[in-house]
Amino acid sequence: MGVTPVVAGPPALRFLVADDDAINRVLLRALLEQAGHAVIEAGDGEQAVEAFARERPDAVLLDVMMPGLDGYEAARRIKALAGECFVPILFLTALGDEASLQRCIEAGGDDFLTKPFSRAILETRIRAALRIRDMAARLERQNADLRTHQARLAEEQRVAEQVFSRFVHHGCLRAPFIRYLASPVALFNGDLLLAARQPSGGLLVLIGDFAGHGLPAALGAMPVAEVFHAGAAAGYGIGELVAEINHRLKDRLPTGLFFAACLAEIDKDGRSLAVWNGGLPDVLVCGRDHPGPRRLVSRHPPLGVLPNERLDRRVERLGLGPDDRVYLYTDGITEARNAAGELFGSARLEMAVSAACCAGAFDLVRTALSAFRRDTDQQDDMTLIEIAPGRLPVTPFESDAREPRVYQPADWRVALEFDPQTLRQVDPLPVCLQLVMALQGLGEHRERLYVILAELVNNAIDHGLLRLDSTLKHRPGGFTEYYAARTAALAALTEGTLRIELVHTVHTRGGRLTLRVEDSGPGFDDAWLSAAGADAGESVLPSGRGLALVRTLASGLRRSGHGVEAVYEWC
Amino acid sequence: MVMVSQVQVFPEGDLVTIRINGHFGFPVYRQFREAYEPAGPARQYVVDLQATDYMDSSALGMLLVLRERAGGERARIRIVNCRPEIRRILDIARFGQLFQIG
Repeated sequence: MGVTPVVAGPPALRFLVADDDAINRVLLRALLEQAGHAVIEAGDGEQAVEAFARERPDAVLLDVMMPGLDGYEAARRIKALAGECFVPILFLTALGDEASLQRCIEAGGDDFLTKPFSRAILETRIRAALRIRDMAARLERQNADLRTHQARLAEEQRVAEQVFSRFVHHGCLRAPFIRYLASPVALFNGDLLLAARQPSGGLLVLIGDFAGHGLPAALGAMPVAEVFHAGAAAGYGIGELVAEINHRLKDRLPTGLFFAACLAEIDKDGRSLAVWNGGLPDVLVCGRDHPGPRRLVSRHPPLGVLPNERLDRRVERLGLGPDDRVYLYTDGITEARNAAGELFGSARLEMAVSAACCAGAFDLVRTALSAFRRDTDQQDDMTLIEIAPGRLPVTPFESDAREPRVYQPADWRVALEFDPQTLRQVDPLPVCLQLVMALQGLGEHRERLYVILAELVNNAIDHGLLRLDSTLKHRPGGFTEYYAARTAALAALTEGTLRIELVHTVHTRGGRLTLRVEDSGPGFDDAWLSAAGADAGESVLPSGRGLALVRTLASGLRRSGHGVEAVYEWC
Repeated sequence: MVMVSQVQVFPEGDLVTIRINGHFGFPVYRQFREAYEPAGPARQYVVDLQATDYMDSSALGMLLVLRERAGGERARIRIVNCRPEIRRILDIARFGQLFQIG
């Protein structure tokens, strides 16, 4: 009568027993069956490999000396068949010398038993081998989980990257007046570089560096890019963008995660640069008249740190010459290290920028940087952009990629009045433009309408309300002076009203939009208005040039009471 | 060579001095946080960077978290003994508007 298997013992296993000696096989079968296991027998190596392939047993007991295929070779083939799955092989050998035992292990055996062996020894060795097998099985399960997990993560990241790149499209970075380098250390870049044209034809650039990189940085980049592109398209300037981006980030990012950023705005004529620098290295401006770079240093803490009430959104302005170059970069450039651990540093960068002067230092910097770093590992994200403002195309009318939405022409009228306090806080242009878009669509007319309205509104504010002298702008360096005077005058303005009236009527197949702008000051100068009209193409005065441009876009331009009225027809 | 960053804390009543040795960055995140807790407007902090030889943007983030935990606008935090390179990092980030530096 056999021994009853232990109730709580390990589950029954299937053993392959390979031995050319039938008595040994019977003996082993008896021992294993008494312990509750099942046994498959093989009389030689060949049969053992076949039986293994057919039956896939849980463990193998293998005699070394067998006719034909010996134990060593059988072990090798069985291990190859088992592949990733761990199947313990125990050699049964009469050979006790060290070399033979070593061969057992080298052939893929996991343990060996020297004949003759006792039942206790066999059971102990089997238990040890099974423990290894269980461990291997657990490891394999974990590996499989890990592989599945990794594959899912890679897939998620691929999709996330697609979504990300749609949100964070880089705008007009490929334009011919821009050169840039952006090299991420992670799939998602901790640095962000965005560029967009304003409806006026001006250029907006945002460069920034999120604390940390990878996923957290990428999450922060999405709202920033959204605000940037929407704001640029609506005609907002960097002051408004800074406030809106800061508000979003402060609201949503946890404390400690912030966005060191610099926003730059170049006017449509490439003559004036406005910069808000919060936590980035100095912006450098280089050109024929000042080969030693002029710089705009960080004046503000990074975005997402201060509440909006404490945020200083004032910008700094510089006048630009026709061959000036503007450089913005993140600290990944100056803090790039070479093999000796030295920093690339701002001195090397500025030397390259000065040496190249108005020829453009982009290639020089890139070459110097790669020569310096050779093949040291990149530590941080690196971003550098060079802008040649003198090459901004004169035509601001770049087609928008989005499908324009146009409503059926309708009759409507909107009138807005702005007092000095409102004018200090809000730019009236985007407000009006958004109203037109909301009421009539006209997305593809947005840039033209912006230019018309901008000319009229700026004229009303600057000359009507602030009484600024526009000839100031035409002197060298006058742009900066003019903006300073404008900022001071607007801050001091206590009374006056700017009135904007937008009237839309149905007209033949399309519509007619009348834009009427009026100020409480002396109003438009008749002489100025007629001078601009008399010589539309060749006006020597830049301000006259603006009005001449309005004449080419509008189907009518005339004085109206204390203001001026432009008519825009579309179909 | 392995540099072990370390945070040392010297509490004196309501004044807590935190000294950071070596690299002030993410590796000391936990130690730094443990150094200032329990935080609140009742406590004043001195962050001593005399023995700090390198600081990165995660350190700036950690300082901002300390500032928030110590009462935000009401926080009383002095950052002292900055070496020139560290001072430069704090200056670029304009942390003088948020902390008393020097």
